[in-house]
Amino acid sequence: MSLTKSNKKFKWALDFNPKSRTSASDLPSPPGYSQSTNANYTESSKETDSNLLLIKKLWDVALGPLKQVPMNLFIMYMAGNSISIFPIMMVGMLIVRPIKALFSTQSTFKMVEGTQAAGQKFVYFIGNVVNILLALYKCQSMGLLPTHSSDWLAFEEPLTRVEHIGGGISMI
Amino acid sequence: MCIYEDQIGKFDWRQTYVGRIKFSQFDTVSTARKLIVATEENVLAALHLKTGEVVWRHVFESASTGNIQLLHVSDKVVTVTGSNPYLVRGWDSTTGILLWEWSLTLQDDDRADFSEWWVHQGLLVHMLPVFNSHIEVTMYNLLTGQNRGSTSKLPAAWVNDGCVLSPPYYSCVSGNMGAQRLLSIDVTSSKVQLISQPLFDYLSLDVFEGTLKPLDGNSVLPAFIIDDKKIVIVKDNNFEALNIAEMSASVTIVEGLNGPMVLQAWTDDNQGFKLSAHSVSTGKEVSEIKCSDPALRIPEPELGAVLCTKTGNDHACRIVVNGADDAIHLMQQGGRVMWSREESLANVVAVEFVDLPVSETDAAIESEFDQKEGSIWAGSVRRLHSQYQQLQTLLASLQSDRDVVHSSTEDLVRDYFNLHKIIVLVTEVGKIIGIDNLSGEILWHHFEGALDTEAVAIFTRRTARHPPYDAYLSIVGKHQESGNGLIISLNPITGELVGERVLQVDGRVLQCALLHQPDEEKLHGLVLLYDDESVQVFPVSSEHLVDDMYLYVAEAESAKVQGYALKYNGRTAIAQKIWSLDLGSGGHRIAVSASRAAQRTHSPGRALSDRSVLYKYNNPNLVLFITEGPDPVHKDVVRAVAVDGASGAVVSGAVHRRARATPLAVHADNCIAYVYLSDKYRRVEIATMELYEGKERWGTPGAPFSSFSSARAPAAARQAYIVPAAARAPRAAALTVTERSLTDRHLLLALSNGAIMEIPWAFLDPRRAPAGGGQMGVGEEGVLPYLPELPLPAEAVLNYNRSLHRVRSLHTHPAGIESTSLVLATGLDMYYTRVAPSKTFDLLKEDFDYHLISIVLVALVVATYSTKYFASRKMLKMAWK
Amino acid sequence: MKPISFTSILVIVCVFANVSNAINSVEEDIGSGRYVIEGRVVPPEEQEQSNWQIQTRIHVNGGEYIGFIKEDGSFAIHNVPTGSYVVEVVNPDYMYDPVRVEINSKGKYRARRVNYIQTSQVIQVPYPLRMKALSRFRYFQIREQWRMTDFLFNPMVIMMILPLLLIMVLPKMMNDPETKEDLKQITNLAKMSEMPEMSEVFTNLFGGGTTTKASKAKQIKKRQ
Repeated sequence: MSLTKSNKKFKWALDFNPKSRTSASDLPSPPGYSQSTNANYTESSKETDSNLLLIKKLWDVALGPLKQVPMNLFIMYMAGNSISIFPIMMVGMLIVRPIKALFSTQSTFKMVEGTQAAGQKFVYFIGNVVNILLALYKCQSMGLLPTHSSDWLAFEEPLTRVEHIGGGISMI
Repeated sequence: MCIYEDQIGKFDWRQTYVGRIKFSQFDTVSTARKLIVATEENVLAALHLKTGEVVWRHVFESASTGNIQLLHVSDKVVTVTGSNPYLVRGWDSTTGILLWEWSLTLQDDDRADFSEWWVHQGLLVHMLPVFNSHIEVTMYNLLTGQNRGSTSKLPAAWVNDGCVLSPPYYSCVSGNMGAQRLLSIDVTSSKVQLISQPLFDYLSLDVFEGTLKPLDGNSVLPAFIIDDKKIVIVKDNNFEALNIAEMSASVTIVEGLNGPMVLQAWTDDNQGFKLSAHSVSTGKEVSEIKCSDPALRIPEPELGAVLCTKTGNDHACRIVVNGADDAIHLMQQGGRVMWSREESLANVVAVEFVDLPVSETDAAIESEFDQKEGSIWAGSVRRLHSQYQQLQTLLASLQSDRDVVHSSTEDLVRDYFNLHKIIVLVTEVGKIIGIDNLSGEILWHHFEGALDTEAVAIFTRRTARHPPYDAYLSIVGKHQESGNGLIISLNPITGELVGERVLQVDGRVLQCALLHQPDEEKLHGLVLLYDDESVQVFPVSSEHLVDDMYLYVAEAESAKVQGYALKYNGRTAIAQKIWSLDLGSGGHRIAVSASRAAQRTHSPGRALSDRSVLYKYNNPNLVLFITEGPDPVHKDVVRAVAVDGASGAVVSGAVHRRARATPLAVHADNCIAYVYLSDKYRRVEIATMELYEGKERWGTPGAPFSSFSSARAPAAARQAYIVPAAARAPRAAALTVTERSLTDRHLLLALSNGAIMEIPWAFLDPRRAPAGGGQMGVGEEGVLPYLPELPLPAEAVLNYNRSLHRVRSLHTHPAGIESTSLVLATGLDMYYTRVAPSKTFDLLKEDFDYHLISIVLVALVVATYSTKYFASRKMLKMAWK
Repeated sequence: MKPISFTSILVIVCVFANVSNAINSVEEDIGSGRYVIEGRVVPPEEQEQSNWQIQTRIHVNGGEYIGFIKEDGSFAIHNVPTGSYVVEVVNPDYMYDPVRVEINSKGKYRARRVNYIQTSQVIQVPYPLRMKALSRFRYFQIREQWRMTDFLFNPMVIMMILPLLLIMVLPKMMNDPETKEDLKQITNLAKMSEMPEMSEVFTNLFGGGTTTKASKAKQIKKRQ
């Protein structure tokens, strides 16, 4: 179609839109107009945007435990290795929180019904496990884990004997 | 470790004793009347006349240097103590402060023991008879010891060892058989005046046994007794004979209203204690001084000081009566006992703590749990019934709180923490006494004069935990005369004889032990090993329970130890000698043996700082022997040998050169401690030893220990510490015992300055090593760096300023709560307290404020509800706005 | 007052002996070799106990020989053979330093401080002994008094009170307009400096790729 137009040119004929295309391209776009977007695109992007947000939120949630790791490390460092009420409270918190979080994984990811968030869940799980391991490490360094034979000494049965003796200095 | 000042006397009590009375005199001069006594325990004391309490007391040396030879009370108290050299001391009778003292040494040391002393007209008279030759009499100025210049030598060839002194007369029976004469001489008079009378004037000679006996107490007239039949008074250079009422009576002559009276006291088997008085001049009976009390049992009463004053026309007398059981009674003329002192407790030889039975309601509850059969309905009915009973007793107790009348037997029930016990004490004279541990009050006593307590063992054969059976306690000793074994069995709660009662066995007992297995009546059999190596079991019915039983017998002087295996061969129990060990090579003798305390072992090992385990060598059959003897190179050597009491294997040992042993050794768990005197450094040292299997355990966990299963020797950690106290200062040692041995172990050490020190085992830990030494235990958690001197701070003194004289032994017993151990110190004084080595972790602090906590709780509840109410009101208001 | 020195007295119990010679005050001449340890106990400063003399005893070698003190505090222990002795003053309430007294065979006395660790070290003290109370024994624990500061600086109390303050005081501060402004500024500052969120990065990493592809496909569709 364009080819015929360029070939056939009448004298008197007014070309009302001679450089319609070119001029349009030369002119600056009206404010707010973006070349890369059109009606159709905006429509679809609206849909994908909320999706993205959701995913972003999911990642937010999933990465939460991992983000706590530096903080936890700091807390652990601050708590010290002595066994007193505050360090114990802190260690207890460190160990209880990830476990709680693990148990409530389903409810945490409930907002994305239908969506498969396996990756996020996995990352979330890994993060919590890392936290638990950290807490266990802390327990270990505080000597709270019964990992040695000395920790089980108290549970041993009292000594029994085969022979019974009596006697002393001669009474005569 | 130590108590607060306001807790003085809350958990502890001290009883001070003086010992068996040797001399007694009333102090009539000072305003506060006292009884001044001098005792066999070398104690001089003033007792309060009204209460019998000790006003002041001086304890002399326990050796012969402290023996009291004379007590004379005038305006001052004068004593002569020691045995060549003698010390003459004067004391203020009111305060007891020393006024003067001087020493006197006799040249003739061999015969010094026959010396007689008395005070005559302000002069101290010393008389020394030289048998068959003469009498030497010397007088000294009482205050300075200046000799008046007269050592007179009275010729008296008739003097023999049967003579008696009744100051100032020295009387003898001398002469050939059938022609004996009674001779008496006033040794203080300047001229020799011999009174001589044929003996048959007073006694038919064919029944004469030839014993003269001086009068008891402080006789006002010179008199003596011939053959327990006649009292002979020396008067105006003549003899005057009086008849005696009872053969075994104790006789003294006292000043009465109408001249001297003869006072006699004896115990009749049927009529009990009897007292009578007769006027010397008229021979008439003094009516008001008379007693015949069947309820009063004073074995072999002996009259001490007597003081009679006038009230109206009657006598008002204070009579000191001293029993063969060492009890001293102060009586009035009518026989009423004003106070008694149980002085036998100054000589305790064996101690046992006995649990009390549970109260009736508790027993009902326990029996409820025992009845397993029956339906649910029956069970719930029982439950309701016992609850109803509990409610009843609660109400009853609430009511009885108002009228505080508690009979003592009803109070003798176990308390919640099992802190209330009965302590059974066996005393040297053979008196068995049960005392309440909380109050120190004597609950019962039983005197067994035939009991020789040189070697005595006491066993709880059945505790009070087995209703309906009563508790059962046996004491094994020797019979005074035959030397055969004597078993006394009694109920420790009531003091009544039970079971074998008092039984003399036919044979000399070498050793005895309890069977570990009780019979059907929960009674542990008593095994006696006789010197002919035969065995007898009481009761005979539990003979078949003799199994896996071993006995060891050590001879102290020769240091020979023998081990016997006891078996039941189907018919009877037999003993088989299985090992013999001679620890006495080189003339050693056993100073002390300490078998391991029969208590639970809490932990099989000790956790090290790297959290590995150092396993303890837990041999329950271990016996520690401390021997001492001469050594060619090192003068004296002390050896400590730990022997397995069942197999006879020597497990470990230690040698200390240039040292002498003390009879102080303790042994519990795998810990051993003993005190010895280091001659080289002239100080007291305490050596400690702990036995370990190592980091690998020898047997399987939970397997019962057998002495015969392993021949390996354990590793021993050894260390010695200096006790910063003078030589011979430690007098007794014991380790604290708790119910489950979870609590720390503390060593209790009684010192001669009267303090009982509580030393934590951590200070005695043999694994303490100097820092940087690279030895075992260095830098380990809980192991202190080594310091040679043990700290003995004042805070560690258990008995604070209640000093104890001559502590003889320390006894510990677990309480019902784990943290607490009960401690009894015996000796001249008796002291009871309780210790909590790891603080009372299982008890609320005694200053715990129940009111504050309840107020806080109530306030919080009120605050919660009121804020809730106010908050809702505020919300309502907000909503309306 | 000078301590009264009692000398051992030799008594010759002999009839023909000249009596005036029977007393001999020179100790060295006595064959038995018995000596007297003398000294004086200085009463404790606070004289609250009236008869401290009764409470105080002198122990030689832990009670092998026992001496008693007189009204003025002097004491003498008689009949001690040659040797080395630790002399202690035993009083239940006051602490005294023990002294080692050595009596040689010639009857010479030497008193020195007791040192159980370095037994050969000699720090001489004057003889006759003069024993001074060091201090009163402190047998008892002192009960803690309840003090307000102790209570306030108790970590528990601080833990309770600080949140209370935060809850009670902070809202009041919030109501103040100036502080509100301040707070706003602070929050703004915080927002400004916000770092790119990690979750965004992750979203771009994992989720971003798929979304762009999808939108491109849609664009193509639309052009056709």
